[in-house]
Amino acid sequence: MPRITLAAVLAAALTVPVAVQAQTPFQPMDVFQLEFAADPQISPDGSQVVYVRTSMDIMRDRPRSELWLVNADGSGHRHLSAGSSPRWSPDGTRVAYTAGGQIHLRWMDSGETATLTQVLESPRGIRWSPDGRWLAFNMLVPYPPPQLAAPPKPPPGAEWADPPIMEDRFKNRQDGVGYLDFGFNHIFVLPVEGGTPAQVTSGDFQHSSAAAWTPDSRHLVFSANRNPDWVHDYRNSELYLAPIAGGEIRALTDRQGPDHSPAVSPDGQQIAFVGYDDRVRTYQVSRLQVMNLDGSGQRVVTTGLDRSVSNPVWAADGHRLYFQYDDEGNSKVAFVTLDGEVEVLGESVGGTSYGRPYSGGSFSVANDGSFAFNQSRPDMPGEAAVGRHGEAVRQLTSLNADLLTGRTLGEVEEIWWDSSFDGRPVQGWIVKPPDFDPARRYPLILEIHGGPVTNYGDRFSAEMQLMAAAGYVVLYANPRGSTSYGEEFGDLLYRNYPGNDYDDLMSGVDAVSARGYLDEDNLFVTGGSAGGIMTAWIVGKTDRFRAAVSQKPVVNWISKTLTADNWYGYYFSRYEGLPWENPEPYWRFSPISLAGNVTTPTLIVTGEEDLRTPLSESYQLFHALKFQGIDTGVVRLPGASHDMSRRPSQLIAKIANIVAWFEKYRTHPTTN
Amino acid sequence: MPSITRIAVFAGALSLSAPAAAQTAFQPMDVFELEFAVDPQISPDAQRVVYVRTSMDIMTDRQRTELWIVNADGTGHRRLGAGAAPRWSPDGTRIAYVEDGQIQLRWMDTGETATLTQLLDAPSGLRWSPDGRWIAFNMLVPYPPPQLVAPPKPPPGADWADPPIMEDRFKSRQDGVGYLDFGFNHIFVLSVEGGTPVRVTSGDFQHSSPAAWTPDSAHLVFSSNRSENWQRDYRNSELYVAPVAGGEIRALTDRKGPDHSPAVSPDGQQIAFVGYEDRLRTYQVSRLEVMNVDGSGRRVVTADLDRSVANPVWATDGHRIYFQYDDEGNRKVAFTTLDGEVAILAESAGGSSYGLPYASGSFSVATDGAFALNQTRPDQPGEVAVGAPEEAVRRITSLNEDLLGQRTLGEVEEIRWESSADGRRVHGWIVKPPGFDPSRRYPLILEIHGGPISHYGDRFSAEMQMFAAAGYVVLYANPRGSTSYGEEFGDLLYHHYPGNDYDDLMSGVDAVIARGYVDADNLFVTGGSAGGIMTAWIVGKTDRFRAAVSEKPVINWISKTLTADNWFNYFGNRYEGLPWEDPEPYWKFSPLSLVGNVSTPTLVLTGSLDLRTPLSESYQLFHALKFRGIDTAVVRIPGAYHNMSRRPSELIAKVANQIAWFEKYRTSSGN
Repeated sequence: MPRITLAAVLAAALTVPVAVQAQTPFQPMDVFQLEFAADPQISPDGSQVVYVRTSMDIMRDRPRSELWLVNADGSGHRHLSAGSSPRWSPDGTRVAYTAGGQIHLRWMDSGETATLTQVLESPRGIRWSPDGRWLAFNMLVPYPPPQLAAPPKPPPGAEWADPPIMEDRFKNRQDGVGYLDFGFNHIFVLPVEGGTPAQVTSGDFQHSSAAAWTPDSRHLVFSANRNPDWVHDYRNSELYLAPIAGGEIRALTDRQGPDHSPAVSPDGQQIAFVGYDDRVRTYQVSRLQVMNLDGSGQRVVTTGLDRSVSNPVWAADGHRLYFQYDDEGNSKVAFVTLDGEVEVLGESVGGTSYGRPYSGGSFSVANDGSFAFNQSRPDMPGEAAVGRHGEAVRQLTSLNADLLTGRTLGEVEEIWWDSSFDGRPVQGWIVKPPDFDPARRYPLILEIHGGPVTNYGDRFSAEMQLMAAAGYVVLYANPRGSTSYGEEFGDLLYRNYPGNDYDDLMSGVDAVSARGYLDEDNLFVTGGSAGGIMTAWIVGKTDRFRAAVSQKPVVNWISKTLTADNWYGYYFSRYEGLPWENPEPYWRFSPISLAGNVTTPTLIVTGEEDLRTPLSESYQLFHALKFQGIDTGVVRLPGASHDMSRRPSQLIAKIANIVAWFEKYRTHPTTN
Repeated sequence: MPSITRIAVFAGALSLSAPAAAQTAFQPMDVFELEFAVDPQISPDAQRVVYVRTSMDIMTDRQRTELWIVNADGTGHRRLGAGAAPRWSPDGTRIAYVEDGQIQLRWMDTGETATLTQLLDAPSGLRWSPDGRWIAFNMLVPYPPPQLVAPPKPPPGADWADPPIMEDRFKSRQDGVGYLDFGFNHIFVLSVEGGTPVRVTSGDFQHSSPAAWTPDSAHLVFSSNRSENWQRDYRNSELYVAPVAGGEIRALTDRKGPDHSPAVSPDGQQIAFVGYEDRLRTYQVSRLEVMNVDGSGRRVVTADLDRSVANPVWATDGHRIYFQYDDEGNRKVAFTTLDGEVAILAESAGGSSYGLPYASGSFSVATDGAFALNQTRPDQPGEVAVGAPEEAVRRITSLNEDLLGQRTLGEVEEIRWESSADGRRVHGWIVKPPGFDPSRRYPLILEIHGGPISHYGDRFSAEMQMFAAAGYVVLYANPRGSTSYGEEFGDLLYHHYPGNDYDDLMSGVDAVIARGYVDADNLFVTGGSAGGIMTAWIVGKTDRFRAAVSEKPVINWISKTLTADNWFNYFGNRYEGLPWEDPEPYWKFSPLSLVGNVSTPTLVLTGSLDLRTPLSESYQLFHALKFRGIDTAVVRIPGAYHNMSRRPSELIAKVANQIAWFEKYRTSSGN
């Protein structure tokens, strides 16, 4: 693990695009050298930041998480231990964290650690009580799996087939996990002195979100759905108040729609939270709200901010709330007065999504109002930073300077254009090959994000850099349906998806084309998940692309909405009605319905264990194209879930396959 | 392994239904005690029969296959060794067989064996040359899997994720196998003295069917599709002749449709084979045909037999052809003159389908015209039998007498009724609980076969017996679309499936109820594959069943015909057009389209590795019912493909789950 001492110097060097002699473009194996800072936690006194340093273990082909500590001035950067989810005690003397499936406590003066628990399931959502005596956390309480009939009994020593497995749950699988354990998540409190956790919640409901303490350390406020019909009422959640000493769990909200992320004001009188009135749309903005502790007096605070907010944290004086939100592809830390006056405190929050430029960052706040967050820029994977109202943000770490000073990255340029469909402005980014020469003609890759209700932004992306390093100009964009542009824009795909996001993207290709440095004969398209859907849709609508790679697509909305881990998440909100009652829209918006039009050579790349867009979707497209005689193949990544970047070698291999497919069809004009 | 010496005595006892004191009903764990005879091969002199004795290994939970030999009079029953696919040399002195992926030769006088090959891939379809010098066989010739780009290279000792796997083939998976190895199957010949196999076929085509020798041992005739467009032309195959010594491979047929199972006449002048002219229907009868060895003079021999034939074998005199066919749920061994005069030689061929009463079974013929077959009856799993023209067939093994002598099986009664759809006659069987009392009222299970172009028959079935032993009357039937009733009946589901097979089955339930011993409040329905489809369809059409178990169903024909191992097999012939061009029929006949009507508690039960009716189909039904609040669950059998009876514990557990689901909803009736 390299020691970074001259953080400020190196950080400065990072932003200067000087061409050094030994520089090369970003290399595939560089993915193993990337590191990023996650979950930065500032100490209550604002003097130190504990964060999770994530690097790639080249022997295990997996990310490795360790706790590191750095002073708020960038000095004293050092390793603490393996672990994740660090949380400072209110007095700043200790850090609780999880490692090896247990909760640990570290005394920051002596460095001594204690293992506080011996639990059978993994604790999550650790929250210190304000009096420093308790830790609240969430944990699964298993129940025996259902069984209709006992399996026959083998003789001793026999090797029989595994017995049948029965499934009777509405939601039973989770991408990245597999078949879920049978059980209910509950909230527990554990004495910080160690001992036996006490279960605070009860009932056959899921309590999966982290709880918030009341200032008197006697109650927990949490989000759950404890309605009798919670299984079917999956778009809804309420806030509840539970005494930790045991007693009635009281609902504080009752509207139809999600209510979550509670934070109790320092004086204990108010609860800030996030949610919206569910109108069963494709996208609605989540608003920051405030109510009295008894649930009365609910009101929206961020009425003037047409953006979804998250992670509300009360300022120590109780007059302001810190929160984060995405705006035009950039994640911000901000605070807001209770009257709704918003001020941005830090920009470019992010860094945990190193493969592609999705959002992925968080912040924490000290008693004095200073805050820590992780930051990402197109030329910078996630680094820890601190800031304070009225002061410039300071980058504390420089985890990737060792690698990136030896690399010429592709330059990332913002671009806006008007959609051919309705003139709506669309934002995107162009990634240029290292040593870009505008007088030359470059092949283009259109890289389309997933979701579709999410966003790309001006953030580091190993995948974009690898494609640029292979000599391609890359366009990535936020077509309609993307978040961070407000509710109306994000909801434009309601019952019309894929819809005019197609036009937005085609206009984007035209806009880049207009810059004069594209080889028009060599346009390529790819994207994952919703980006894979749009890729499959595009080749059914146009033959302008020379080749396509559809990653982990949905191609048939009827099968997808009955086979995926989140199968039920689309009815009414994405398409009208239920597929078995109203199949028409589910079919009409399925890329497979356009398979007869496709002439573009189309590769499909999907993880074998993908439960979000199962491999069975990929095979439907592969087989239809095969029957049509179109050049096609399917590349499956063994063991990979929907997130194909969990193992660095798979991210590298995935990009290598995408680039190889494009290279197979790319023509080389005799003159430049 | 029990040695059976007093065969005749035991065989006689089998047919007596006298309840002995210690007798019990068929028990779930009895499945491990079942045995059956497969692939009986009569020696050229008709004195002996070698067969594959299949039993269940309770320690490995798998089927165990061993070669056994028995004299044609039933004496001298003894073990030869582990192995499968035994084939006698023309002079009857040796047996070639397959064991451990290699071709083995056994000298029958000394019992010495030699391993003739050292192959990397498994040989299949062993065929002796008439001169006894060569063995032809089929084997995969692999080629390197496609790869767009080399994967990144790990440091020494690293534990990386497996590299990406690329697939670019039209047919890429096979149920029961998984992802297919990359390669082409070819026909080889091997010197019986041992040595290096010589490849006879060439080209990037699949040669997967066993070849037939010409009498001069100089040529092989085989079925394949060597047309340029063979992948998409998957319903078609032709017969070819290839010189063993190398040279041009010549096509003998050229019609659109399958041509296969060639047999060359003893005089070398004619080739018998099986096929039909493809009219792109759901079902067409395969006819026995004959042509000259150059492909000229083709004519149908079984023109008057409205049944599909299989396995033609020339009689030594060249005047008759032996073959087998299924008729009204019963497999026959027959022969026909070249003028089409058919005579039945044996009935009830079968025995390798021990779980459900599907067709199976095969025969072989000695030089003098005597033959061996395996035989099954509702109370008899597969046993070896021998016969000869003009002689009665004799059963010569009794592998299950040790078990079944202690069991009272459910009695199986044939029943026929008229369909409410059009009055058409439908054939079925009632299985009654042991100790059946017609004055009582029994719950009924309707058990529906797969296919749907297939059939059940009067054959042993462990699953039916377990249902009966649990106290249920079972009805199993051959509704329209079933084979063994002729081409028109089998093709009635063309562009209309599920269709009036539903009515046929409902009429069958009515017919059994009319007998007065069924509790009409406790009707249950189950079935696998097409039977699972029909089960899911039924609960979408009627609420007369108290509970249902849909095993390995197709729920959505659009996803099925694009995800299954045989995905391409339905376009045009089962439904009109292609799903992406005309989804309407694919949707209309999908049980999913009726799921909004279902009120019946419905369990779904499927192998986790099923590639024929993938688990993703089962989850579509489970989730839709779950959303609607219908009582449902899915039970997956880990490691099981479409055939859920490969491992005996899985068959036992599967039936236990079906019964438990029915018991959960069964109400106690008045008596």
